[in-house]
Formats: sequence, structure tokens, C-alpha cells
Amino acid sequence: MSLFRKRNHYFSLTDVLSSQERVPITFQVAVGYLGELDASAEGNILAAGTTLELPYWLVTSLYQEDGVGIDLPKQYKQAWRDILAADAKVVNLQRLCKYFYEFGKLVSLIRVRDHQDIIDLLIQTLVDRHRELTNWAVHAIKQENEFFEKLDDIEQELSRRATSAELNLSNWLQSDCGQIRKAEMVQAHDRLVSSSRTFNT
Amino acid sequence: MNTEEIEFLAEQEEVTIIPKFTDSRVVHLISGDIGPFRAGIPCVVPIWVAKTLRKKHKCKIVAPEWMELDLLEQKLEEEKSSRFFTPMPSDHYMGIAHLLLSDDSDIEHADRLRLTIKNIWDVRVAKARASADTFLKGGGRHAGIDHLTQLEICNLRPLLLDALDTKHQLSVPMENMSALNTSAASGSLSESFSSASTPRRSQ
Repeated sequence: MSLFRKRNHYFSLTDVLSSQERVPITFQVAVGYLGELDASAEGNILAAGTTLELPYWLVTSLYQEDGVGIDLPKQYKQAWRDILAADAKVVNLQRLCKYFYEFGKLVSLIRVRDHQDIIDLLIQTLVDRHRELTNWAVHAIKQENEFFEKLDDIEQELSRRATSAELNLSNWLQSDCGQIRKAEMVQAHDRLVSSSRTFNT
Repeated sequence: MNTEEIEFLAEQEEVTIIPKFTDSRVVHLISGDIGPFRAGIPCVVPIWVAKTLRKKHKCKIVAPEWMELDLLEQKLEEEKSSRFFTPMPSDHYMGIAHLLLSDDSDIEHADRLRLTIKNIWDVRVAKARASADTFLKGGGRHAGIDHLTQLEICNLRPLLLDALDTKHQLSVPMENMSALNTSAASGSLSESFSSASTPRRSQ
């Protein structure tokens, strides 16, 4: 199954977490009954002109209302775009935004005007960082490392996969022969058969 | 597929052995007949049979034709100087080398052969990685790579495919993202997503 799909479905934790990132939102009109969203608001009414940073999942249900404007999160704004375009390799994505790519994809859905810009930024960043990631993943002995800490969540997963393939190969080269194990599916089937057998008797 | 499975496939390749025993019976298998064996007369068998007999000191394994120092060094030079992948003498060169060139191997210069083959492997894998990166940067839609062996593909797969896939998933149109949590949260939200591709009604 593809990595991105696996990480982004309804029950996936990474998807829940990436839609938890915050998006700046401005209310141009006063909104009743939403005062709780703003800790500094008095009473139950959200004053006009309030700017808040709300989680993405909340913003999706608000952004199409009249009098509500959403802004780009800072990591997708021009300033950061310039930095990423200059040299994406040195940016600490982990600190900037843990789910840079997935959250970026989500943000592009609600900022229709910037959609293509954001997507281009994400792809360019991924491509620029890929070489470094490859080199690192192939030569990494242990995972705790300065470079690894700088990777976004999906990049970490990518490099973990690459490292495990590399480890697998070097283990094979060193040891005489490995043991071929049953495929996951066959094992699951065996378990199923044996459990149904005990159930029947 | 992982390394062990590819090694298993490599074991099906044939190799010449010189048996140290005589047995006129023929073993009939689906993949072909094995035997009869006559002491001192070369005989072609799959590598797994050769390995088993070797372990019991019942045969001597003869190196495959391509497993020759001069030839491999020439291949190494060729591989280094070429921008593309050059055809390998065997589809499982790495697997076969790993199987036949153990420390107590019958084959002469086993250690030097092993080193040369490892060098070829390193050159090829480095080349594969570099071209994968160029491909990703170039943004082409397809690329043709010839003469890669299974083990090399297996080694390259996680890096290249996952990265390409992530890149693709980032650029697919929004409709395909409908499985996302946020869009599936309620009916009105998925509706707002499907309308997101058309201009927004406010503003």
C-alpha cells in the first residue's frame, strides 16, 4: 500500500494529528456563541476583527461562512517559501511543522487561490531534500541523529523504510543465509484456520 | 520481495559440479531431472542441490563461466565508464556470488572475486541512486532503466517508489483526497470540499 495513502485515511493517527495543526483565521463580523474559542473574549460573543489560530479541522467548518477570512500558516507564506527555495536541505522541518507535507496538502484545499503555489512548494521541497535523505538513510547506522531530527514526519518514515532495506541487505551479505518466513497473509490465514478449528470442537 | 526470497530464486540457477560419487538413479522433479551422477564427470544441477551435496563433501563446485577475475574486472571498468547500466553476465550475479563464494569455497581467488563483484554492485547501486534523484528532480513521467537485476531493484524500491508516490499524492487533484479525516467528518464538509475546486461563493 502506498505510504501516503496509508498515513492519510479516516482512522489514521497521523491524519488526525496533521489536521490538528493551526491555521490563522480572522472574523470580520461579530459572531455569537463562539466566545469560548477566544480566551480573552468577554461574554459569549466573538468580537469583529478577532484573529485566532484554530486547528485545521475547526477551520474547515468555518471558512466558507461570510465574514470569515483565513490566512496562510506562516510556513507556507512567501518568507518561508523563499527560504525553502534558497536551500530546502538545511531547514528544520520538524520544528517548523511536524506534518509539513500533509498539512500543506490540507491547507491547499481551503486556500483555493494559493492551491497551486502550495503544492508546487511541497513538491519542490520534497525533491530538493530527497538526495540528502537518501544519502543519509543509506549510510545511517543508528536512527538518532542530528539530520533525522530535522525531517518532517513523512520523511522520517521514508528514511526508516530505506534504512531497513539497507540493513536487510547488509545482514544478508554478512550472514550465510537467512530464513524465509511465511508471508503475513498466510500466517494470518493459518491462525484463522486453527482458531476456527478450536471453536468447532 | 526481500533479499532472502531473491536468494531463493538465485538458488534455482544452474551450476556445474563434479560429483565424488556414482549414482545412476535420476531424481525427477517438476523443474527438471537431476542426475545421474558419475564420479569425476561434470554434471549440471541447480545451485541448491550443489550446495547440499557440497555440504556433505560429495561434490566439487565449478565456477560459472562468467565468474572469472579478468572478465569481472573488465565489467567493472565498463560499468564505471558507462553512463547507463551495462548488462550483467547473470541476472542473479550478486546472489550467486554470495552463495558460491563462501570462505571454504572450491573456487579459486574467492576473496578477490567477491571483492570485484561487490565493487560492481557498489558502482551500480550508486548509479541507480543518482539516476533516481535526477529523475525525481527532472519531473519526467517515465524513465527506462535496462539491465537492473532483481536484487538491485529490491534495494532501490523503498527509496525511489515511496518518494515518487509521495510526490504524486501531493499533486493529485483534490477530489481524490476525499478519504481524509476532515472531509469525511460530516456531510456539509465533504460538500464544501467538492465545491472547493470551483470558485468560492463568498469574496
